[in-house]
Amino acid sequence: MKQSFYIDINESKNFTKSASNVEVGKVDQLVENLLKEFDHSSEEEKNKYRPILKKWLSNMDEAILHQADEQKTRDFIYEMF
Amino acid sequence: MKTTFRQTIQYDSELGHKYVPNQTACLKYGKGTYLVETDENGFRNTPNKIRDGKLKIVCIGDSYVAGDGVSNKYRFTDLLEKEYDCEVLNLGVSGYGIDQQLLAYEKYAKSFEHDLVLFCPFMGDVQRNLLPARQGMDRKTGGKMLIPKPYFTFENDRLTLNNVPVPKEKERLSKPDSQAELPMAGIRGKLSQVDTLKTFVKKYRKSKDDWKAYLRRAKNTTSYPETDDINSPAWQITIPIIERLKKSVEGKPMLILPLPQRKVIDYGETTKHYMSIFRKFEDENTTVFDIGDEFKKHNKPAEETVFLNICWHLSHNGNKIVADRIGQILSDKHGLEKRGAALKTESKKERILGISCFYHDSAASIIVDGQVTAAAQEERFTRVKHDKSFPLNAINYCLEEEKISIHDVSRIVYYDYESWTIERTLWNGHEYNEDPSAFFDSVKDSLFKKLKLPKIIRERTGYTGEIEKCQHHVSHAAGAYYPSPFTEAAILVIDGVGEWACTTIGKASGSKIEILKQQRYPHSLGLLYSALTYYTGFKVNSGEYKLMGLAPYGDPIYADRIKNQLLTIADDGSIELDMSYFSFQKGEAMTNEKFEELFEGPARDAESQITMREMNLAASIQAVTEEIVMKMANHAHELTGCDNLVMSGGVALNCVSNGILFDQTPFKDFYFQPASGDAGGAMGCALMSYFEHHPDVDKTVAQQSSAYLGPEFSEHEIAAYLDSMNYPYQKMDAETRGATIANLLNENLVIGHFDERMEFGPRALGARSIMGNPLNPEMQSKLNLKIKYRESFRPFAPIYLEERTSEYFDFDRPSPYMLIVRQVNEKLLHPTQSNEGEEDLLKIINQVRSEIPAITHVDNSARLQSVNREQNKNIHDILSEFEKLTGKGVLINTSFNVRGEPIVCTPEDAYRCFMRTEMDVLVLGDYLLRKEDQPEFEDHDNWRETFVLD
Repeated sequence: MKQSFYIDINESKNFTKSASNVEVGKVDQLVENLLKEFDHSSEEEKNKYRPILKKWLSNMDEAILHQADEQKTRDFIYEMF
Repeated sequence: MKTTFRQTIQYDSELGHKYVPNQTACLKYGKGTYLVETDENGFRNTPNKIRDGKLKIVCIGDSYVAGDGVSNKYRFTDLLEKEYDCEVLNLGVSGYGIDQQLLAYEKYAKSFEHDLVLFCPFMGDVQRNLLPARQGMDRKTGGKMLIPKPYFTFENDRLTLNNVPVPKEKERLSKPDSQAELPMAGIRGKLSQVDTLKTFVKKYRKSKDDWKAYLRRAKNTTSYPETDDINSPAWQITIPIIERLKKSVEGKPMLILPLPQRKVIDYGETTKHYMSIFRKFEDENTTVFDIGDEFKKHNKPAEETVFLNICWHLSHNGNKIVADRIGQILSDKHGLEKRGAALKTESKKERILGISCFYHDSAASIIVDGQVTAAAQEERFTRVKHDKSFPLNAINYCLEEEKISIHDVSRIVYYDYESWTIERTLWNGHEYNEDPSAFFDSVKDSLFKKLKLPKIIRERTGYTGEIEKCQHHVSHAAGAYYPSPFTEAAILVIDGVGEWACTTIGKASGSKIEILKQQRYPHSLGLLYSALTYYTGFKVNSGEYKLMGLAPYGDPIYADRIKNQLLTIADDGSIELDMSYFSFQKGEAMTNEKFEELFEGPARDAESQITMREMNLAASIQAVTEEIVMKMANHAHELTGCDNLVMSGGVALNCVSNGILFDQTPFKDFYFQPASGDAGGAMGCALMSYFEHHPDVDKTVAQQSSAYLGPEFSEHEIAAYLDSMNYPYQKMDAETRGATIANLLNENLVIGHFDERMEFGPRALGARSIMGNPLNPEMQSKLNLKIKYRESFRPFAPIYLEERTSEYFDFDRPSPYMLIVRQVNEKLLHPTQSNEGEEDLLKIINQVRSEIPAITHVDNSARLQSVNREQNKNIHDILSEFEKLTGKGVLINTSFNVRGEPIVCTPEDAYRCFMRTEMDVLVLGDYLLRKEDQPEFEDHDNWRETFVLD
């Protein structure tokens, strides 16, 4: 039987980082920023993923980010009791 | 959608309505929120603010004065106090006519010795004085209704007050009443105009002038053309009201500053018509000023330069313009001086908002200088179990707990490297799917939301500051370690999957966390347990605890088959799943046909009968899980040499395996994060960020003393709800509260107990609990079938006096979070018959196994929750009084909800749950409600359809 299925990490670096890398509007730049953060993939794998990411991000409609009817406001009708 | 989960307006017998006293509430508005703070009288004055101004001012008005849409500190009254040497008592209330403004002044201004009155009516208030009722929204149904108000009539030179005491009865409207409703934007506004035309033709078809007025309204320039007409019925009643106000101020100077409607300014209309009427009130004490030109100078239609876009109230900038104008007038006329030194403000604190969402159990948490001060799960507010949507309600709650706006937050952190999750999904697609693109397509929407979380945060909260992200398992690790009482510990995180990690072993010392080893996707103990959860007919990510509860009814006859076929277990607890038995990696169901062949049949249908097969499968996966968790924990001890272990992740909610850790590992002490699921990640990521930015801060600042981190409802808020709804209650004396409740429990009544701050985490720990008598053998099935409407096999947990722990159980230390299962003390056990071959769960359950039968599970175990006086005085009192009556300081404690429903959050949720079930008594703080006293309950939802079994 194999001794262990764990992967050694031994990291005590900072585990939080700025989200600014993904706050990028341009698709090409966003794809490259994402690939740069793919720490578990080889260059060959990244090359396979690049077109999928590009197609995905080029075709997504940002409308899905907005909650339906979420900001219905008070319209002067007070929530009474 | 409600603007807040709190009821902010209450019935008032003299004024019709006012704000709930002593309240802080964060109300949604457009792309953000604003903070409403009220004083002891129910007006928007910030309690305990420093008032040291020379000139004392009372300001009356409606929502424009109250400050709808802006936080207290951004209103013109507060800005005036900040800039000038004055103190302002703000008596503005949303929806008030000038009649109610006068009554509020006469009743509440006297207690504040003042030098000057600031009367700032909105131009539409003139019309309101005609009305005996205003339109409002019923919080319960969202429907429209007419809320009675006081109103004056003027006959024979006499002003007569009517409708006082104001009737409580509200009239429900099937359609909007245009006379009682103010205009609305967009399509609704247009519809309102159509309605107005009908009403106008019917009521006011008298003269050419009336038609002119209607045309102005229809042209969209003003909704209140009558305000310009001194002969209108509205002004005929308003004039004597303002004359009475002038008398009531008893010779003090009064400044009248009428506030125009946005449309008037946007369309460049003149304010001179109504201003000429207001100017008729001028005399040596009364001065009238117009702000119209000032607004026009700054206003840009459609922008929030002066007015807020959605509700048209004054923006922060609009308030500033008014404050500057008033300040200038008061300087010129009353010698008001600018402040020499700024008002003292609180020193700047570091506030980090943590967010988890778009997986399951969305939540928000706020950390102030390293200490968790508030945390809540979104499901409690939206009433959608395991809600994974953006946690706007939970965020707003955190802000109101801190009495801040989103702009006061130092940093927002979310608990996921979304790029790693996307990477893992791409890898999974290529590794396990013939068409990786098609696999990716099936998850593209949910991944897109994860990727765009920073954008969503900014759009939905209006936040503009720094945003960070933290690794999923590290968030769990931080959430387990920093709140623990330890300064050094081994860390074990086990869940389904977070980015790539399924199990993480780490070590923490001081404020530093180190990650040592990880088990990576797809080889996940959490996913294996979920696969069996699915196969036995329960919902993945929510029904796992049911499988654990079912396990003691069965025998682990499938354990070897699981270990031999489904996975390989290494001595260090790491595992490798045989993926040929599973289909989650293909985006399908958890298990496949090969899995079904292995266990000789298909998965159980959710609502079908639970058989011995499911019980044996439950017992088997539980036994395998325990074996793996023990190996993992022992390996963590070998790696770290620490005496303490902290745990988090969904598997840390397996309280049976948690209980065994005490016996089968060398660790001396343990801490299980009470919010071990994904909700807890919101707390962990914020803590991690704090300590990474402040590595020298002593980690003990983050120590968590209880799980009571959710919203609390004050006595005022509970009374406001009960009185507004006319529900009969008895107010308990705080001294005898415990004895009163204990007596009712001893009479075998089932009580819904709602008290103080709500728990954070999946367990109800007394603040939102249903309690019953555990000494009654029939209580378990009564609670399951008549109160919770759930499967009869489900066990109930005891809540007991911490000091009695070892008398009742084989345990010697506190267990405050109900996360440890241990055996009932053998001295309390009764001999029982064997259940071998018995498939009728009710027969098995109803056997009396101990002196506290209703909390003794079939294997004589119990899920422990101890309470000491510091953690929860009120529960401790009830337990102590129950002990005096029965000799046992223990009660049944189960979550305050019905099957599949999120635990109740508000008094309204609690009352609804109370009335839908056969619960006997409801306790809301110090208020006690008996079922037999309550009016017939009108249920607007079919809750059995809304809340399905998980």
